[in-house]
Amino acid sequence: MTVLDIRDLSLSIGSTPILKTVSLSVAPGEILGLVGESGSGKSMTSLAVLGLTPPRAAMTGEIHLNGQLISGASDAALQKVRGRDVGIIFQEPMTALNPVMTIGDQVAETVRLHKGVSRKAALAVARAVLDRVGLPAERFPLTRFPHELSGGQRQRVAIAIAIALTPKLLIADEATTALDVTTQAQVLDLLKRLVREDGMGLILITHDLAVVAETADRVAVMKDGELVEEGDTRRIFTGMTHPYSQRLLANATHAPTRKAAVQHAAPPVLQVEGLVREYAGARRLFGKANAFRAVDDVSLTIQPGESVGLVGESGCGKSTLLRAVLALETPQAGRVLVRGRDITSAGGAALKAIRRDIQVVFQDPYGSFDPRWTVARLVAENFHLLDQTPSPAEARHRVDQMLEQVGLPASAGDKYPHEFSGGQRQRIAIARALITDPAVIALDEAVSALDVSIRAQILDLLADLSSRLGLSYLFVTHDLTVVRAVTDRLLVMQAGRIVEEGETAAVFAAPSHPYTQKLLAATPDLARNIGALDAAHKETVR
Amino acid sequence: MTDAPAPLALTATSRARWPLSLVVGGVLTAVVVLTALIAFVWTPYDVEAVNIAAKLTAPSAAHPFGTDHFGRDVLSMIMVGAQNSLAVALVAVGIGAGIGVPLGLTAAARGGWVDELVMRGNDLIFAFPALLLAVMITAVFGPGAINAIIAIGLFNIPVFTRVARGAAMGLWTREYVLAARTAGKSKALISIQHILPNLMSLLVVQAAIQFAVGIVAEAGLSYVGLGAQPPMPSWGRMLAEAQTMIGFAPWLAVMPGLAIFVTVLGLSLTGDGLRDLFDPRVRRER
Repeated sequence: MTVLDIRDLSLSIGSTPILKTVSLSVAPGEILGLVGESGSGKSMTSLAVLGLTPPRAAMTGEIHLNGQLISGASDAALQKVRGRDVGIIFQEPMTALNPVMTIGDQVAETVRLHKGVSRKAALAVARAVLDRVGLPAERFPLTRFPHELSGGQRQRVAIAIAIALTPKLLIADEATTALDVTTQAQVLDLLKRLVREDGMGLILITHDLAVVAETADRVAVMKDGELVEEGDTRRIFTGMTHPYSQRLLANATHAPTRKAAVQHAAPPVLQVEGLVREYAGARRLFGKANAFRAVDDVSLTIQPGESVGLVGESGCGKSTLLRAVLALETPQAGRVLVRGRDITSAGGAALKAIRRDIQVVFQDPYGSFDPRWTVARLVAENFHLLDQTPSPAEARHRVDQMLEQVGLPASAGDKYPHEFSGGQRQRIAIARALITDPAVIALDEAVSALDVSIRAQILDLLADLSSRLGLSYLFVTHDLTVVRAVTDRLLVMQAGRIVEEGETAAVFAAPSHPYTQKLLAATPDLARNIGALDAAHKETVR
Repeated sequence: MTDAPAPLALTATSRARWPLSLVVGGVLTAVVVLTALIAFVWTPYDVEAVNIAAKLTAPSAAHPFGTDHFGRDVLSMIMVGAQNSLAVALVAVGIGAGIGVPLGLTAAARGGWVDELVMRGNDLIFAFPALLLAVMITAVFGPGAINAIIAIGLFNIPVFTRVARGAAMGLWTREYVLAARTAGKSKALISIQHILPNLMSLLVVQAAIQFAVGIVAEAGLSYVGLGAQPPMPSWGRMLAEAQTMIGFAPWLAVMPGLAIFVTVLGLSLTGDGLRDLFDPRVRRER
């Protein structure tokens, strides 16, 4: 008996095929990991199960839920299925909840819709469910509003809504992607526990192979709307047969070859000394406002050719630190020296001269370009920092050269940013940062939004540029896997302070601070998880 | 949808499908603007020529919109009145946008006390009933088209300031603006190069709406005798003069009333249509 049985599901929108004869099944109490890169059709598959496909989509094939054919059912019939038999949790905990409804009412709403019980009875169910997902009554009364909760707690409420009616099938669509690693680990544990207790089927949709390796019983790999490989988790991770899944695994663990020599004897390119950045808090009626210290007495140095990673969870102050280092915000105390010159106190021409040496690549490949500017104009924007701006012809020549250096055709200059993919946009952002020949580039989660294969390419490009140009990098990220692959030294930040600092390999091998230990333990580690799978297998064989 | 694999052609056709409100509004507005322009070179009759013998004739072939109590041709007066209405509203919107947008951009760029000062100044103008303010200005400086323009322009300023500031505040947190700052550009330069162009669609929509509001405001001021002075024809004053004769010469009120109605409707529809055209969310739902 299966909870979900998808047979030869095909779906197209207009003339574009989105899904091609996908067949999948989920057994009760089973966790199916559905992995693939963006556009592979993994989310569309789950939406098809819920009957939430776009209006113009044409669908063929059969979807059985609990042995009942639900594909082609009327919307009214599907509405009954949604919530009662299938629950879904989405990625973004900030937008999944209604901000003006209490958490109790939001959970109770689902119960009342499907069971037709009184408000009081529904709230009693809500209370019990919230207890189950780890939001106990004493700290999380039903009258709490979403804005009073953290991201992980909101995701727990979303899970509570999804499981309130003990559905047979739960779909988690990148449900832990937006969370910090420690929170992610807790939410994954919660999901595993619920599956075990209720005998639900769970489809875990994610791009993160490490998460799948530690959570799923079975794995299905999708590419371009097709199911390329499916099987037992251990079998998939130890003996992938399809070239695409093999490539996916290789990209996920990709470590670029780095040849750049760190010049330890040379004067440092970046020195941060005792940096403090405070924000004025809410002003009280009487007395002074409470100041919030986002960055608390932080010091760091980066040598020429060195890659330094700055990691920490959201709200730890790493972004604020980065903005202060880039002189986008003025610190209350401390200095930031770029090749010996203080960027925090400089102004006018002096500041421009310093900015030439420190540039930045931001996370969002979609938000970091003015949509109305051509790529050539965007890349040339940093010529503003030069004392003498080059002539238009000269500028264009240098932009074209730079675009070729980052692996784009020179003709890219005439196009607009929206004509490029996420990875290509990150190349454009790198070209823009490099055009003034800087000594340090700060990378603010610069590869976090990219698919693993694209991420591997960008990391290779960065390593290559570093060895050719002797660049130093400051990697600001929450992703420890990336940092491990590309940095020489690692700084761990917590609550505005650097709590641990050391050679990357040494920190990973023997973290000394409790917070670092907690962070490393919570980070899904593909190699470790595959090792664990193997060990467990040998145990059962014996 | 056909199965021709031509994504480019598809976007082109969806682009070509303009919102209906924009088409209708554009046509109405064009008719009014054209009428005003024609009036510069030709009107059926001289608007100042008094012909007591032909006074208060109902609409006819000779006088399609009839004549008033001095025997002046109503159609000619409405044509010339269109010049007055459009000119006042246009310049008033120009004043509002010309002062309001830079103020809004500055408030968003500088923040702090500059922002407070600008926005509280705005509140001050907003808090005053617009027409009362206009009456006050014209009462102090004397009635006339110029003072009407200034009065209407003044209460357009806060509207544009708010729109520009609100949208600019959102843009200042964008990464491309941060990137421009690391390129060493000043806040003023970023406002001009990155912020303003990305606000343009919003401002054009607001301008069309304020244009319509300006037409009504001008008519209102003229109605109470504070707008353009005789013998310059004006829609609002024509309405006021028609008041006592509405029983036996209704066309005197209906015609200028219709002129105001068509102009405001045209401009409002244009504003709505432009917003639909610029807003991809609305565009997709159509």
